[in-house]
Amino acid sequence: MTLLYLKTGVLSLCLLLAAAPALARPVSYPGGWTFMTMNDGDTNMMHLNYTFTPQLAIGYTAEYWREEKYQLHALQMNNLLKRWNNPDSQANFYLQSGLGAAYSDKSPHDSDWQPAAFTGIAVDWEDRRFFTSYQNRVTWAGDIDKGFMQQARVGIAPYIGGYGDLHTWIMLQVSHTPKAENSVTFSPILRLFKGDHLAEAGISNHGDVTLNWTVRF
Amino acid sequence: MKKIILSALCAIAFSFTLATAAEAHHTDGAPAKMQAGHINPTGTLVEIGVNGLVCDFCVRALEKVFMKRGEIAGMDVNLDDKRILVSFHNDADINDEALRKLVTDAGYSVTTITRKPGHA
Repeated sequence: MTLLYLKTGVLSLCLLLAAAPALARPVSYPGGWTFMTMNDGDTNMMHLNYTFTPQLAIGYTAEYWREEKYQLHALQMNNLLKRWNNPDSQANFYLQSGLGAAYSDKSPHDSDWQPAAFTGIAVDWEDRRFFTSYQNRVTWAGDIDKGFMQQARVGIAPYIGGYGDLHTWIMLQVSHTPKAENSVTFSPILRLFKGDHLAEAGISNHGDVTLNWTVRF
Repeated sequence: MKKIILSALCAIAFSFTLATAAEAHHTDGAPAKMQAGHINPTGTLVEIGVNGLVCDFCVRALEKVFMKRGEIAGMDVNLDDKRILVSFHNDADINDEALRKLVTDAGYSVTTITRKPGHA
């Protein structure tokens, strides 16, 4: 029985970490605000940031992990470490880090606050037809939660729209959480992009729905 | 696996519907571009080649950064040609170095700057 609880606990923890959010363009232009919300089978997350320089955005992140019943609140810093601007494509290398606290509603940490932090890198390359990205994240939330995940995406635009058109991307997301029983998750994702708004919908091979939305202002 | 295949097929079918709609939207075949403000027919016009323009977020960033400057009457950003046309008010101008910095501040890099003083 103890072994069963242990396996269930490890699996739950890994599923939680596998749902760590994939932020779309986490640094904007100086003076710009970005709001993102990401929702999937395990978590609801929102992130609001303000871009101070072309390389730095700082904001607030809130996450709720439904199965484990804990919240994570953090001051998040997004650093654009390097951008490669090419004639027909663009590539980026980001560092994303957060520092804050986690609050648990679940035993044995019921009504307990713990310090929390996370960090990870994100790289992407895209032109107007193809998209690839990779990101990872290490999360530490005291005794409530800790772990590692990584995620990659490939995407293709079935047509190339002009400015102001509705842009469409078909993407495949692969998430890997080394400790999970189902350590690899595949999620086809449809991305719709128009003006300042970017929305994504998908479903994983475990049946979990993904709904994401990003807006800049 | 069946769910993935089914989802992918739905996404492809949906995107081709959108593709058809987008195609119908561009009946004149002209490249879509963003225009902010207005092009001043008697002011200086500067054409800037830009690397890294791949999406609407890029165009909006350039618009937001450039249109904060009072010297600028308006601008066109063409995603297809990767170029910006900046139109100045009469007797107003921004030097090349400052224009480069504006593009860099928006997150992109300059390839060329071509000036057309009093182009009208």
